[in-house]
Amino acid sequence: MLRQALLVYRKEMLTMRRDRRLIIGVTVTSLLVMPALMGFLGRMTNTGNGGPELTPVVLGTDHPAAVAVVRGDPTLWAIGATIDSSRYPNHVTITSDNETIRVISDRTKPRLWSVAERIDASLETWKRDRLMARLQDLGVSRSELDPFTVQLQDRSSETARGAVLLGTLMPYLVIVLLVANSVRAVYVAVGEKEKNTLASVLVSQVPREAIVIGKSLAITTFAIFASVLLVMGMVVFASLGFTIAGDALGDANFQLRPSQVVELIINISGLALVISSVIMVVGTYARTQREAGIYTAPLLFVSIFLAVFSFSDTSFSTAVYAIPILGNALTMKATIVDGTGAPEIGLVLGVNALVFAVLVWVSVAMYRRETVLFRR
Amino acid sequence: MIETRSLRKVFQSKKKGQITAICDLTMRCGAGEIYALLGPNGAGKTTTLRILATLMDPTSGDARVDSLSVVHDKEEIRKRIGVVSYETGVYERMTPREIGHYFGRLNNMEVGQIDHNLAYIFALLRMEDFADRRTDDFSTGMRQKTVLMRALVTAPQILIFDEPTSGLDLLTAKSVVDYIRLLKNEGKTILFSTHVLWEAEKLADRIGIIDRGRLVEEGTLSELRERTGRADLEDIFFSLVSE
Repeated sequence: MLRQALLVYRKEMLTMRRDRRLIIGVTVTSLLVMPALMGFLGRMTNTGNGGPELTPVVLGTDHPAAVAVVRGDPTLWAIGATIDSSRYPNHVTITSDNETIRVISDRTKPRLWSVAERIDASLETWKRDRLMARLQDLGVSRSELDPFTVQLQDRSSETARGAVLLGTLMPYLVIVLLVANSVRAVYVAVGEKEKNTLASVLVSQVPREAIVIGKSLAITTFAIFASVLLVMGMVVFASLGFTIAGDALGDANFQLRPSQVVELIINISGLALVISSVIMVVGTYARTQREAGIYTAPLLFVSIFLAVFSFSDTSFSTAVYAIPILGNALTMKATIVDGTGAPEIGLVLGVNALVFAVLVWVSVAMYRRETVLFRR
Repeated sequence: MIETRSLRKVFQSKKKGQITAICDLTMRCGAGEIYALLGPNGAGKTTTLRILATLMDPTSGDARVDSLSVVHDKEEIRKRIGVVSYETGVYERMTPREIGHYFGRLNNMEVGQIDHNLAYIFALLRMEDFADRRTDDFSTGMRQKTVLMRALVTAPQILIFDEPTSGLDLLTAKSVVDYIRLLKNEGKTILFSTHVLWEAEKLADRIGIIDRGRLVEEGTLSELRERTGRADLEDIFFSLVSE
């Protein structure tokens, strides 16, 4: 049976290798389009975060505190109250009467609101400095006025911060990529039915199990290959000086030990087997690639939903690791962040193997049902 | 030998309820014989052949291929049969030789035996010129020859053809018919369905006429002539089907 499964696998791989549109599509998408898109997003993030964007401030007061704060901040651009402020839709207004200075902004615009909060803080500092100067003039010592200062310090290393960022992002990316690329290979499962070649395989001496296993492994190989290609594209892109994630990564420094890499590869392989067996079930049931596409769309959404849990800081109970995909995401994160073998990896891989076996069994059962094979 | 006894196949349709595709079908194709199954569209020909090819199970009744049950001895039957259908496709990114090797290996054949069989089939079907070309741009005739080759590479003793010349031009259809005749001379048992009456007239030792899932007449051409009192197979067919 394994020999025949290998024959089916080799035939599917040969067919995929010769599918020029598929290979060109995957290569161009993985090596150029996706890295370029992420690089573009990274650049946009950079501009948004660190660009010297000026915020117009309508100074409707000549209060010395307001004037000092606005003129002292190079990111603020003071414009007079007589200028038509409607020309500057994103502006902050400062007015005052007697004892109140009003900083007027728009909370629905987060950047503008943060500028207003900064002005507010600067005004408070101005007020405090003036008060302390006067009290010092009256003979109160600096140490009495300001007995201590508070400093918030980060004890984590650059490597640890990098590991957390990688552990958060990687499971998500891996899951989304594997699902998306497996979906592209769904024709391995549905193509025989669509092209009317299935009957000739079914009347041969090959067991149904060999057909399903051979095809599932072909989908797995393709999904892993396409995902690796995409990661390579990103690495090449980054080595050329393009920022992939913008400033989000900060000063993080990624380092993976060989044992971590091996554990990740085993984890990703288990995950790929689960996803490909789901695709196999869908492809076996569907009549056409189009129909298969309708069924695989929810799979992508569910996978993204489960993958998002890798962003969470919460510690989950062991039972949660038994949920396929989610368990893979959490153990992937643990492998990267903790740097040691995730204790639940055995459970996760066991569940992966079980799900793969069950779904292969479901596909085989479907291969025996004429209502599925000859569905009109 | 292929035979069915009181074969019945009922499909469940959500929209149409129960559909009886075959009703008490009893027929027999002897060893080394060519049997033509004639009938209009929807008569139950394809369903009968699918049951005999082990692709479907009968609802009731019995069907045997080489004395083996289509329900209980599927694996054994698959070792003995070759199946060709008018709707069968070919792998578009493979050459006929690769397809032949793939199916040969799936059927546990040695590479040397596959090469030997392929050389014979390619010569016979005049496929040498395109045996190593990918099938993407093949004509319908070239595709049908590839399908035939795929079914014959294992040198099966029993062949089941579902409208093997459907959609082919006259020249290609004739070469397929000639080939079927040659297979009979090699002692193969052949059951085929067709719409084309002259094929049945030329090839078949015995003819079965099926209508609405029932076998309405069966026999040699001369027996059918005798029973219906008509000389021409077309007249015989229309008299039986329209009644």
